[in-house]
Amino acid sequence: MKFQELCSYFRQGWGGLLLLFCLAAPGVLASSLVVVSQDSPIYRDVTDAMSTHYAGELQVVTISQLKADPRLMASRTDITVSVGVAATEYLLQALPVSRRLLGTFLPEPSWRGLLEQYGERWRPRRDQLSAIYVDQPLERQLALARLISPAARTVGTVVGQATQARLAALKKAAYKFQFELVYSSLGKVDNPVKRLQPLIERSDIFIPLPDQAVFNRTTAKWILYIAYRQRVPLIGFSRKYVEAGAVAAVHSSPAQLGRQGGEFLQRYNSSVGPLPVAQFPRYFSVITNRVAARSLQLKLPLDMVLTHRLKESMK
Amino acid sequence: MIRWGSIKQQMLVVAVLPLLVFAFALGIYFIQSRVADTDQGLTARGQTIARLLAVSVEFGLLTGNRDMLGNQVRAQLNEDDVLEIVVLDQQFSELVRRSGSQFSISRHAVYPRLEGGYGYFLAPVTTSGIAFQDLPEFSDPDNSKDIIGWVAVVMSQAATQQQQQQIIAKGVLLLLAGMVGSLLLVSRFSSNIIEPVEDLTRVVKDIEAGQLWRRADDEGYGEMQLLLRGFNRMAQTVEDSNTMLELRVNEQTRALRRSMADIKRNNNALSRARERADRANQAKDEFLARMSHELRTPLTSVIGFSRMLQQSGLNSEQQEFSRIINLTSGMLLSVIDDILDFSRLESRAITLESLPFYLQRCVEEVVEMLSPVAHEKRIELVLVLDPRLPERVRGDAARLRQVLVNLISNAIKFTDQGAVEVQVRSLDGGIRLEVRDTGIGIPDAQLETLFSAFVQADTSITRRYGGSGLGLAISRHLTELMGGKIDLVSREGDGTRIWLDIPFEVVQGPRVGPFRPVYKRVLVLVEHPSQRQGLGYQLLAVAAEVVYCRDMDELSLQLLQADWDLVLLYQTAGDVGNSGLLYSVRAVRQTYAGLLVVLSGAQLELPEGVAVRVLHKPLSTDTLIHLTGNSEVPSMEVADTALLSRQIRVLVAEDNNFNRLLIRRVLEEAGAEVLEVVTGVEAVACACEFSPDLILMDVHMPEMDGIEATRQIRQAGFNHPILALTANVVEREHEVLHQAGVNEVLLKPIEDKVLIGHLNRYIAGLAAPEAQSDGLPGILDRYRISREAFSTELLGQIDGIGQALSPLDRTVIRHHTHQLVGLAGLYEMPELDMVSHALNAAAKEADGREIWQQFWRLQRIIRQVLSEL
Repeated sequence: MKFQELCSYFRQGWGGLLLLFCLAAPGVLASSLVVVSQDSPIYRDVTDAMSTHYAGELQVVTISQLKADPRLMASRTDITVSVGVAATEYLLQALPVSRRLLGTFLPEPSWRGLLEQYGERWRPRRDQLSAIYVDQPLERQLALARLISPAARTVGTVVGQATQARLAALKKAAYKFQFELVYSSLGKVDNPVKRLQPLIERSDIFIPLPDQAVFNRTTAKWILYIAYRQRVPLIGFSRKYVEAGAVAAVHSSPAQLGRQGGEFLQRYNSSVGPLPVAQFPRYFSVITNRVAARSLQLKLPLDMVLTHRLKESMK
Repeated sequence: MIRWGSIKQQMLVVAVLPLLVFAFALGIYFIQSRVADTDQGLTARGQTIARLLAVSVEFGLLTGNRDMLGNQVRAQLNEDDVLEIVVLDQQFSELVRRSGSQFSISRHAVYPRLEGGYGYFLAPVTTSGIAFQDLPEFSDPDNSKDIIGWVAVVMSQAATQQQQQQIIAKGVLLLLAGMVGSLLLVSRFSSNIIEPVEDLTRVVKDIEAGQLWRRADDEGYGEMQLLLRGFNRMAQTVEDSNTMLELRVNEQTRALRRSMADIKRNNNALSRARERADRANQAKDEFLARMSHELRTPLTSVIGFSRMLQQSGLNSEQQEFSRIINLTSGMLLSVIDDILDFSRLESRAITLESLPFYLQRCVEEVVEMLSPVAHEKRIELVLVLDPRLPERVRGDAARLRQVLVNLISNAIKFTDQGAVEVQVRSLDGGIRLEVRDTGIGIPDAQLETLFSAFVQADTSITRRYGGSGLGLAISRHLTELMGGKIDLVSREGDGTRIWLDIPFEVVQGPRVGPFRPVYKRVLVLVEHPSQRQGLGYQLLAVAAEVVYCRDMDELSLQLLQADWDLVLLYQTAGDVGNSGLLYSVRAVRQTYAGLLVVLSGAQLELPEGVAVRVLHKPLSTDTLIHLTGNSEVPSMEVADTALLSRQIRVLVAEDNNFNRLLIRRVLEEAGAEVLEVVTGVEAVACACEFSPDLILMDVHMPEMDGIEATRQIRQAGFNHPILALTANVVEREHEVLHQAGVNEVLLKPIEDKVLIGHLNRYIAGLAAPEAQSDGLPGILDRYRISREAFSTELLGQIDGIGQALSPLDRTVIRHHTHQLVGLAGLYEMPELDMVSHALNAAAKEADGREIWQQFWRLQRIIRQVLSEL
């Protein structure tokens, strides 16, 4: 690394981290390259938590930095970690197949899509790839739905092109938590609002799935509007959706996801052998919108209680 | 520049006009703004409604739910002026129309727009969404600005227009109210300034009109009150000053009246005094006339008879007595003449003539006249003439002669030996006539009083030399009348030098000279240098060369040496008994046979056989010239015997027996036939009866005086000369005599030779006696002019003047007086001429009073002239 570049890393904060790792465990654990899609606080939270839970050295770079100096990639031999969809996509293309890759902080449909797109390159060494999803398993969401609305009979959802594959798992989970699944598949030309309106009307609780073909800002707004008008609780899939009006959501924070990544590295970075299959977040929390809940005349326990009950119910 | 009326109008215009303009502009602006605001309000409301609707119909548009949309647009608003709401999809296809109206919503129209009483507003329906992704990479783009449809709103402008009309109406009302209010306010508040000013203006006008007691109402405040009070104080000051002025004027007027009254009283007193003086003067004149008549008449007899006595074969003693009688009579006559002259000069009764005369001749005559006297006293009388003397001058030759006679007589009188020299020379602007003598001189102490009347240097002189003592006083008076001055220097024992400087006007004309020399060489025997100087001027004119000799030896020598055309012997005054002269004549004749002339100061008796021509001093140039060409030597003596040139019949009208006898003797001896009458009546009768060739008319006669007799004789058609005889020297009487028809006035006493001379002069002109002035009637007859026509002319002129007097038309008065002056000159009316001149001059510049006085004089004279016709 050139001195100027080192100075640049120090300026960006990453340098301090790098230095810390170098001084903390020199020669104990192999150093790992962490590539983030972009330099933003939320990714920094992820990498911070990751380094916290990993004893080895982490070199965190952005995609643009890596593109500017591809040698960064060559100097590391351990598991390379990507944070974000863009970083994962770049490493699937650029990372030598002799290396191992852990994709983090990306939705499960995106991982699937990327594998379909770049899986051919990694076919002989498919077990060198692993991922930690950002979205929650459907079962966990349905469990939350049951916690929120114990009396609900039907659970409604809509699936698009990206979430079509999870429909079976959805049905299974619904069944597990004694829900009748009502759903609707949306095509590219369908008017989501128009299609969702009768669907929601038939649901006791509604769980939207994060599918770009179904969801955009307008659709999200009008789903909330329709659900509210139909007095149907809506279980969201992100903190922002809860803040926008969804009654509750189960989600993993960047720190939780980083922790899971750090632990993954701690376990597999020094080992030799295939990496485990992609996994959903191990650590999660429940958040609620109490104003929305009060509007729907729902009496919800505290988020912490709900999280605990959810964890309990998932065991 | 615009002229405004009263200050009130100006004030209103100045104060209100900008206010009104400002208020009007402001009102219009606000009305327009509010009207625009209503339009903008309508627009804003329409756009707001459209935007709100656009938000509310998003869901319906997204879901394509027309029922929902229909319910939304129908239930949305309860606004009366919202006529139509139309919801359109993305492709501008109409989905829902609220009221099913026919308003056309076009995609290509302009929105918002106000048209045809309606407002058209259009708002896009856009989607809006919420953020729902935590992952940065999944923050999908905000597609909330996508247009998914349109909402059109049509609103009625009726309410807006009504509102606008109300705004305009209220605005105009408010504007009018504001203007009226402003006018009232300005009028009210400006009256605080205007009314005092107007009041002040009225007071100023009243004060200008003379109401000085008027004051302005000073119940104001501020500067206006100060101004009004200041004005009142000023007006009070003016009134006080005026009152004081009036008091002073009244006082002065009273004083002036008193002065006028005093002056009037003094004038009256003066007038009375003047009347008394005039009366006294007239009495004096009359006394003098009477006295002169009374003195001269007997004196005439004394002189006449003494002369006749001398010619009547008396013995030598008787001859001497007669000569003494004659001499003393002459002295007495001279004294009387002096007294009369002086009296006339003192009363300013003498007016000088202004006629051209020959100056040199005049002086020569005087010197010639007095030469015998000088010769008798054996003193030389020398005349020295300046060659540059003008030939003719304008003035009174007789008075100049009188003065010269006086001065030269005095010089001769007071000189016992030596010479009297008379010098005449040109000065700048005049002539100096100087008389020098070598006489007794005058003491310095008496020089100052010398020119006073009745004063002589010494009372003993009067006893010794005689004379009235008036000579120098008369000379001084006459000289001053001629515009000159007289002065003298004298030293006792050495003689006297006295001179006159008289500014004679030179008469330009052809000179007789320069004379051509008639003698080539002239030899002169003259002893005295001054005598030589006196001869020089005369000889220079006639001789090419003159040689002067002092004694006979020199003369004899000259006679032998050259040929001479003329030999002149100057007899000195001291040559008693002519012995010296006779010796000289004989001596000359021994060697010279040419022209020999003796210049003598007295009668010279030369032995027969001596071819000598005798000339009397002073030597005259004319005489010298006449000596050539065998011309006769002119006798300068008066003819010894006074004879008439032919026999004539003379009528003598004289009441004084002695005088009549004397005149008869003189005339008869002269060869005249004499008719005698004693009264004027007889004279008239005799003149008509015998028609004499000439009449000698005494003035003062019983029954009818000579004046009236002459007038009647002339009226009877007698046209032969009439000569008046009078002892009265007063000019007035002479004028009356001339007007009556007298040809000439002869003063008594009358010398026989002079009388005969006059008669001879008239005998020569008897054939044309009409040439003499014979008064106005004679002139009219001569020119065959009717008396009526002449009277009419005179009356017309005086009437013209009378007409022009009342408006005092000076031009017309001067025109008529000019005419009268012409008439007076033509018909020989000196009085009319004088008064016409005076009136003409008065009309030129004098005041009305003077003009009136002259006019009355003129009237009187014309009346007199008309009565004489």
